[in-house]
Amino acid sequence: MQTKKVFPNWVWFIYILLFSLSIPWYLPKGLIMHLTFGLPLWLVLCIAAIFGIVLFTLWIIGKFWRE
Amino acid sequence: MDTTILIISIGCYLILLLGLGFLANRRKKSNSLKEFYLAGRSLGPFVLLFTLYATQYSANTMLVTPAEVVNSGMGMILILGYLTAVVVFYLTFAPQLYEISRKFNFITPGDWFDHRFKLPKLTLLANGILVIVSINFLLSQLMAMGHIVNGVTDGQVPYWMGVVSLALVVIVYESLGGMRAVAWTDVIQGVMLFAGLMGLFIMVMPNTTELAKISNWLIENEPQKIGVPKVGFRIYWASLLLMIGLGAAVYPQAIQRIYAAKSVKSLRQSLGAMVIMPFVTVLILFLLGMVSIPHFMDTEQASKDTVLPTMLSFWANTSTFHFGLAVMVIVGLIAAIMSTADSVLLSLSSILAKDIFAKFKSNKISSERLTKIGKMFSWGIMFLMVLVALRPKITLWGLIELKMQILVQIAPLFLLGIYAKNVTSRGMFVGLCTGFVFATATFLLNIKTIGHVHVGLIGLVVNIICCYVFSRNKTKTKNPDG
Repeated sequence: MQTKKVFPNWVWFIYILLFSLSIPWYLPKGLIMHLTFGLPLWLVLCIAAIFGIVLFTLWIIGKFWRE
Repeated sequence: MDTTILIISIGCYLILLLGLGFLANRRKKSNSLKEFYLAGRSLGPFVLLFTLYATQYSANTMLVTPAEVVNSGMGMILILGYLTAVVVFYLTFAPQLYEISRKFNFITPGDWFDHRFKLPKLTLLANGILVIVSINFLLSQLMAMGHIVNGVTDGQVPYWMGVVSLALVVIVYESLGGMRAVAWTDVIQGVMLFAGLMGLFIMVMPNTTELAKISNWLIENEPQKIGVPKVGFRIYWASLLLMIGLGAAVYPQAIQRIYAAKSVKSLRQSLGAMVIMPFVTVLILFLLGMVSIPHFMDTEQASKDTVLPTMLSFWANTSTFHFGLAVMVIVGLIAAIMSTADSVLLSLSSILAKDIFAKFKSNKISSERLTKIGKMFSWGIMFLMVLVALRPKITLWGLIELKMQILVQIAPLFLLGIYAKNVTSRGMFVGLCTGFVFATATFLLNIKTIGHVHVGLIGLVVNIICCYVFSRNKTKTKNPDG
């Protein structure tokens, strides 16, 4: 029996990118920025990146994982 | 809080779980290992989703998340990240593993190790690690049972009674119906947990003005809790994301749930829904932690089991409606513990009976007999663990920290086992030994991180390097699945 790849390799690169964006590497420490929805913007961006991971996962499962 | 109503609610809930155990017992088709440990591979998407959810989210998630937000601040959003990463790591190997498990009738994680590597000492070592991890995990759940029940009933139900009664209910329904009973009760427990969280959300329901008020308070008083975390913390964040993401994806109970799926469609749909769960679970707990900050202003360090119970007690006294919601949350919390404990116990007994006991016996043991032996192991383990949990002096809480850093060493057996065709069983064995020794030694030396990176993750890198180095220039054991 052969087990073939279900998801193409580029999918994992997108994941690395999205997970990297979910950590605020790109901002200086201690920065608070203005509040968005009552929360600091950097936190909202982290949550948005994870939400992006959720949407991307739902999309790749629907598109590539077939019976 | 009226503890009588609470105790009655918990009692009704436990009776419901026992009833489901009896029902699952009547539905069983045989006494085979497949039937007992994988529910005859019949789990549809709904049951599979809730059993994965209830198993994955233990009392720790419920208690630690708000407490960590209170103690460490907004950076603890990392919990949302690593619980999402667990589902992503499932996707890296679950589709292939499911396909192979169907073809070769796998029951335990050890069946995959045997199939791919054909090296008994490797399977034994990997199973040994899984047993250590599972025993720690089970013990922590039993102790949590006692503490929670004792705490929420204001000491009316003593610690020992909490441990013994909940452990007894778990072992009875599990012995009656195996995986089917565990999965069905997980559905109830998952629903309770989810309903409890929704109850929490209704109670917390912070609007943006309230959140802004708390944020502004933090900016003025504790800016380190709301500002962008330090570089060191960000490295720690990334390291935790990888370590827990990979480690939790290879929990034996999670692997067996992949085997137990009814079809590819069931597995696909349940994993698709699972990726949403951190959002509806952790985000609510995170917000709860945030609104709790002003309540713990004068406290030096909020202990992990105090934030949620204190806040529940506070809200429950505000109105009857809130009291009802608080009861739901508490039952959800007990559900979270029991559902994790039952899954760990079931998986542990299958490994001990099938992968360890049966292999040391020279004569072949029938599937039905192994199922019986597995049940006996369940009772034996539960009895011993309850004894340990009842003697608070013999505390193994510290060992729980060891759990994830050694569990993650198992991940290459799945990931490299599936993808790296040139990795040999010898290389894998040397890698696993090295990773295990590294993780254990650093634990004993009380080293948790090196340069903000978890030692478990460093051990994993060493493990993988050794795996490749010792796989070179040797006879290759080709992946039998191509």
